[in-house]
Amino acid sequence: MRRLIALFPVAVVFMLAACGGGGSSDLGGGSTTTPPASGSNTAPLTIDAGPSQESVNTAFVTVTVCQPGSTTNCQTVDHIEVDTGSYGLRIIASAMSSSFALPPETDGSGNTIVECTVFADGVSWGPVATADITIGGESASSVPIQIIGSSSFATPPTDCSSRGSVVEDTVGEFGANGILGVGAFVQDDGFYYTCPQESCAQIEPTLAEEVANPVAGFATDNNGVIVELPSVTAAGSATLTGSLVFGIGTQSNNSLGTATIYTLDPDTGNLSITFNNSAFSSSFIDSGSNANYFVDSAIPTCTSGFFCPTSTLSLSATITGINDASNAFTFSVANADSLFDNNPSGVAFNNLAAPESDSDTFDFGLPFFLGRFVYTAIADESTPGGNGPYVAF
Amino acid sequence: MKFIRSRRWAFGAALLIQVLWVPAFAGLGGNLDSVEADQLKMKGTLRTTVAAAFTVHEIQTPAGTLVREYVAPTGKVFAVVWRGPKMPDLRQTLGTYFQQFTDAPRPLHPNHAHFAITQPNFVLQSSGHMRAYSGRAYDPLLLPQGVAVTDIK
Repeated sequence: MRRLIALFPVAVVFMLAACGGGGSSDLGGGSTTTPPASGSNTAPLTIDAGPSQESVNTAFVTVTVCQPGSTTNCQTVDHIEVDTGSYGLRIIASAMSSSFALPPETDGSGNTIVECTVFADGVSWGPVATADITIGGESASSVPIQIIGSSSFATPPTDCSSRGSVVEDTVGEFGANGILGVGAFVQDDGFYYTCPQESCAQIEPTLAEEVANPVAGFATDNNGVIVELPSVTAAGSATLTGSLVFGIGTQSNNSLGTATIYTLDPDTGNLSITFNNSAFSSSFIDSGSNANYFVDSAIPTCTSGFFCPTSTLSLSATITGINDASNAFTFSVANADSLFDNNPSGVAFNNLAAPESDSDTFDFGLPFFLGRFVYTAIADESTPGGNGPYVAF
Repeated sequence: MKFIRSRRWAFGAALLIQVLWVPAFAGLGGNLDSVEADQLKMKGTLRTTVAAAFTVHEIQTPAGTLVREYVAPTGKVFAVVWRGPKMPDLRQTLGTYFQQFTDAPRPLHPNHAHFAITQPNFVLQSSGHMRAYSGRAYDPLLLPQGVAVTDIK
């Protein structure tokens, strides 16, 4: 079946349209375009170089945040990275008007609650505020979000900065105007502080106080998302548009179809991926990863940090959910230097890969999402395919 | 390292031979006997595993993150590994290498789920996402004889 689709790429479009996105498609497939989903439960996705002009394989969405209860005191922010590997909305302060202020979240003594968000490559520091959030046609009321790089809390405490290589508090450092974590959990389980008299100390927030995945706060279509991106040619694409669809099995445009459900570890959100006869049990499917990351010491790495094989490789890895659902997926690894040299304006590549740092992880990143509908169901939320957390495709 | 016996080489360099409970923890590059106070800061339980070519000191923090520290027969920490729902305090975990960590150049196309540094005396690999972080750091120049990089996990 996979071979057939590779030979007849047009069939991919037909199949995706016909079965609501359940079809499997070859990552190395030809040039096809999937029509963007339409409906009030969708928001356009764009892949471009981003505000830092350094992004590759990064999907962005536009988000509107308003003062709780207001429909006019709002800010619309574009180039918010869509990340199925995190939970909650975070916006860089400088991406919004300096005169726009959302109400800060405070503890019982009136101290603003501030978060230290830890990514593998750095930390981001800033207060938690409450906002009404609109994405596409969906809205959530009074959701805690993080304002990164707020001038009111300019410098993270040592306890925060000690958890990352750098502080990523500006648009340039962060690589986006913000990040929308629409992964399989509601709360982010991060580090929270209050800073009375300039000195910050960690606190244990209530679940309701934690920055939360806005999707779970929508009135409807709140059990998960589908990231829908078209496929690209092996040379990569200079621009790409797709859709972020809210809800799973709640509307005519978000049914599971024939997609296979792979349940996730309820604590970590991870599953198992087998590659080169080794099982990597801390693996994940992450739109926020700009390449497929895996361990393969036989493939040379170039100075850009990506894999640079002498000729394009066709590989296979098997994804296995906690529910033992299991399927093999083929993917290509091209020479990253050649990709960038031959297509300097390219921003979407299905064959970009890089060495994985962790010996127990295989990370199918955004290349895996190209030409595929990837469902992410939120933990404990009910869907026609059972409760989250799961991914499906 | 009085626990180490070379005859155990017959069972392989990284073969675990016994588990002890010892209150000691040092950052990368530090000496085992100089930094017992660090363990208090982690507020975690500590387990020591002795292998043929190194000992592993393992701290489980209250947040559920496991920090493993690899100590050479010289008593020097040559590698640290972490895995769990919260990033550990890397200033403490990386010890004297923390400055190299913060001074390292950024990649051409940065990514929030991955970060790596490869320098002659300092290799760091950080990976993962919210609720599931993992990483390791080591000094290639401090690796004891017979220890492979793949033993650090």
